[in-house]
Amino acid sequence: MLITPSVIVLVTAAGAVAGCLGALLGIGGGVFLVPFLQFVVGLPLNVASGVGLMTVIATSSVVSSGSAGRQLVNLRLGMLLQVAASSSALTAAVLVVRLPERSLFILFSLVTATIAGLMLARLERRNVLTDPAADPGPLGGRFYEAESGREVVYRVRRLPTALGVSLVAGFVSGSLGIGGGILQVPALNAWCGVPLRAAAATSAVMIGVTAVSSAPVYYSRGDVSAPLAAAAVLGVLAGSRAGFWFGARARAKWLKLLMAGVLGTVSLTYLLKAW
Amino acid sequence: MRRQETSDFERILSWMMLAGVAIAAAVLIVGLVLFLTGRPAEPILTTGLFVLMGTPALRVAVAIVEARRQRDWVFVGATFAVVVLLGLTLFVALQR
Repeated sequence: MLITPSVIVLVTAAGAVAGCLGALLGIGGGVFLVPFLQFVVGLPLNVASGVGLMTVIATSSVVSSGSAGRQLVNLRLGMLLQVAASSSALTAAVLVVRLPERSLFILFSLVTATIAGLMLARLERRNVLTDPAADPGPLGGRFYEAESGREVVYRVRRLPTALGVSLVAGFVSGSLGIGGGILQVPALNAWCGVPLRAAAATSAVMIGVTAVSSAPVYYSRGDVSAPLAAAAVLGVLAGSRAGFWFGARARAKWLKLLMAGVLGTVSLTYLLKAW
Repeated sequence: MRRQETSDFERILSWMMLAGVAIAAAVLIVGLVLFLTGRPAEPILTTGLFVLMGTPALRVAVAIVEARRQRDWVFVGATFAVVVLLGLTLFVALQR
């Protein structure tokens, strides 16, 4: 398709909105941006995914640089899970052109429905050991929690589950171009004993590396349109700044509800397209 | 304890990530302006996107150095495996 200045402006604006929502909701903007690029701008799914991957990398680097010095990132656990996520992301990137588009639509529909459901039923449970001298075990960690003014220690449970979820998240990222963080964070939190903040910070690092495990394959296939990717990345960077700014000032419960509705609609749209 | 060292290491890493994104964004802005004014922009845009893709990869490369320094062999092994996978991605990409 011909990339006119108005398309560039549209994609930049879409990136800004997606980045802002992603930062507000803590889910990354790809899940809004990729369907928009496909259905409104009219890009083929692979090209929309390629652009999405670039924005995931930008989001990851910005978010993970923001968690500096707070020991929230469990790089040891992250790298172990990354082995699973990167393998499946690369597999997905290679496989995606051989899969019928219909199966990708169904996958997208499933993923967005899951995210909508998770958003509605956010699992918030404390997974911390209160004794600061407790042993975090080989993969756990400890960090300082500002609210309670204490050091928090946690252990990692059910490593195979965490690895399995990372495999799924990597495949979703590599085939649909959205970050897999939204699947990984609740799973690590609810099933594997990682406190929400540590899970989010660790996942923020992982989604970037996962995206880089498939982005070069998209690139070499010509599925990353450089001007559109640049527009989307710049939009997302600006939008996520705005999102963090809003997020620090407002608790957006109604927004979560609204976005769960939007994602439900996206899910239904993909399902209908697959029919 | 190695906790304090990890914290310093984290700080350097996050600074690197932020610098990577800032450089990529600056290059992409220049590229996009060139594109919009109808001048050849592809090489500049590609450079910006490559810098962007290099940022998380660099983080992994630095993590392997840190893991070795800590003599934490599970960490070293996992990070090494991730580096190999990223290399494989590049190999697959260059095959096309």
